[in-house]
Amino acid sequence: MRALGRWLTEHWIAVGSPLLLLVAWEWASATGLLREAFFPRPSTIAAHLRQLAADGTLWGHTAMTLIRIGWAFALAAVLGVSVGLAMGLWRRLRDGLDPVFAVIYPIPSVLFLPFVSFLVPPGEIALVVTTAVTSFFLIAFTTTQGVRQIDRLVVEAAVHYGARGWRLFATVLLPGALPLIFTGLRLGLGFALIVVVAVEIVAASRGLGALLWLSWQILKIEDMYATFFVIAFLGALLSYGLAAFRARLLPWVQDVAEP
Amino acid sequence: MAVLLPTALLVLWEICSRFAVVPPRYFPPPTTVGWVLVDRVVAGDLGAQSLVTLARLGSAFAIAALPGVLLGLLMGVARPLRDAVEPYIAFIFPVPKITLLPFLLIILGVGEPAFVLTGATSAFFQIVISTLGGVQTMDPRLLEVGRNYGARGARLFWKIILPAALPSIFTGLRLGLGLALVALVAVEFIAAKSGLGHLVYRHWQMLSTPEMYAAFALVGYRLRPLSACLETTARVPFTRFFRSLLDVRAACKPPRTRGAASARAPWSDRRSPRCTGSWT
Repeated sequence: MRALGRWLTEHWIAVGSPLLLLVAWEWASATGLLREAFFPRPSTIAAHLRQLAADGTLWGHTAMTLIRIGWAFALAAVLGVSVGLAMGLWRRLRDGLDPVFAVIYPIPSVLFLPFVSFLVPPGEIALVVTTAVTSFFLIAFTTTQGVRQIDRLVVEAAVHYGARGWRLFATVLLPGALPLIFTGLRLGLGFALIVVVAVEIVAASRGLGALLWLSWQILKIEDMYATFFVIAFLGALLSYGLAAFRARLLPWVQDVAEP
Repeated sequence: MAVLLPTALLVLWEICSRFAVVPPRYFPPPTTVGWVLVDRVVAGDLGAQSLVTLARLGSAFAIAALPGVLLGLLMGVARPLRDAVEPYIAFIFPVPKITLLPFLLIILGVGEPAFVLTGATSAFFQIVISTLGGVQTMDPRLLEVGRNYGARGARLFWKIILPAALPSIFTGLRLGLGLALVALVAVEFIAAKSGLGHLVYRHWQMLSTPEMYAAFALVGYRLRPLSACLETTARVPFTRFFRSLLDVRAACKPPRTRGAASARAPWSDRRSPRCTGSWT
């Protein structure tokens, strides 16, 4: 209780300002200062959110999105880490792939949807593969960096003591690259969420992005806000949950891309 | 190797497509795409539409850059402001900004302002976070040196804090530019009726694949000159920044002294403060 009190005296502004905004918003919409058609009251949005959750619509869409993120992330992680490790270990491969990646990487991932839908059967698989593209590049890049930034001295010492081949890889190179690999995975997961929503808006009939777009098209503004808050909540959960997880898993390293 | 592998991939694609190993309707040979690209950029929609995208990107970036940097710096300097604003930033930053599009479409109506603002918000949050990070992670020794030499207030900010945060600010601007392009192209793909993103979408629907790939390639290429531009501008303040670091003593007032003696004091020449040795 005392800890809570101390925490509150420290963070009262951070807690108070969103609360204040919510109250002001509620009041402004209720009195007509903000047009309720555009800015429905927070209490109305909460009621709609409860209703969406109660009749199961929300859970179906959320599950769909989460499943897509899961598959896309798994695909991107496996391919990204292996390609990244290979690029970190073999200079030839890195020299060859770098220019290819440099051209492809900045292309926004939604645009891959047409290309991917030619390549694999369109539908669910195309959505997942498109979602995986950006994450794959991010993970591959950071993994390569992770291998490259290992201290030369450490590698040389290991080689000197007779470690080579698999042993060198498993006991020196992989652990050395692990912190950056984890950063890459975290960034990749964050991007998977961003891309999946965009892809769902374009091409899916189920999923949170699709629900948001549908609510806009039939002008159910309250549902739109409710869906937005669910997406924002998912995003916060992914990024801060993973940051906390990482702090527990690899407490000795600082994260390079801490938001 | 850097030339060999990409060329080999392209040649492989060309051969596969020419001999119909892969369906050429979906994967036209690169030479065809290249020819369409040259042809349509000069005399067709491709050039015009890429200008549309570029104009949108420019205005989105212009809207986001200055407020983003200002807010980031202010948050870095003023603790209460940071506490008050940080929850919103933390809440919206991980959200895909494309989800803001329907809200902007409702509030502003379907049209250019809604499209551009979606791109601008995308850049804005990245710029704020990078700038704030730059102020927060600056070497505390720089601040201490500045303070010890009597710099405070505006002087501390202009001479110490801002230069120290500049690298992060430029990183933020570059990342923001990229994110704005990503959001804008997605917006064009979904909602707008012009721009490169829309072009890819339309040619996809019409299955005119050479044009589709040409537009696709242009998007990848689009960012290059802008990014390069930003990097050269970044280099100018950098050189100034490093010089101002060397000159950190010159930035600071001489130590305060009692009485009128200070008027004629030898250290009133700012370049050689008397206390040079005191902190080493």
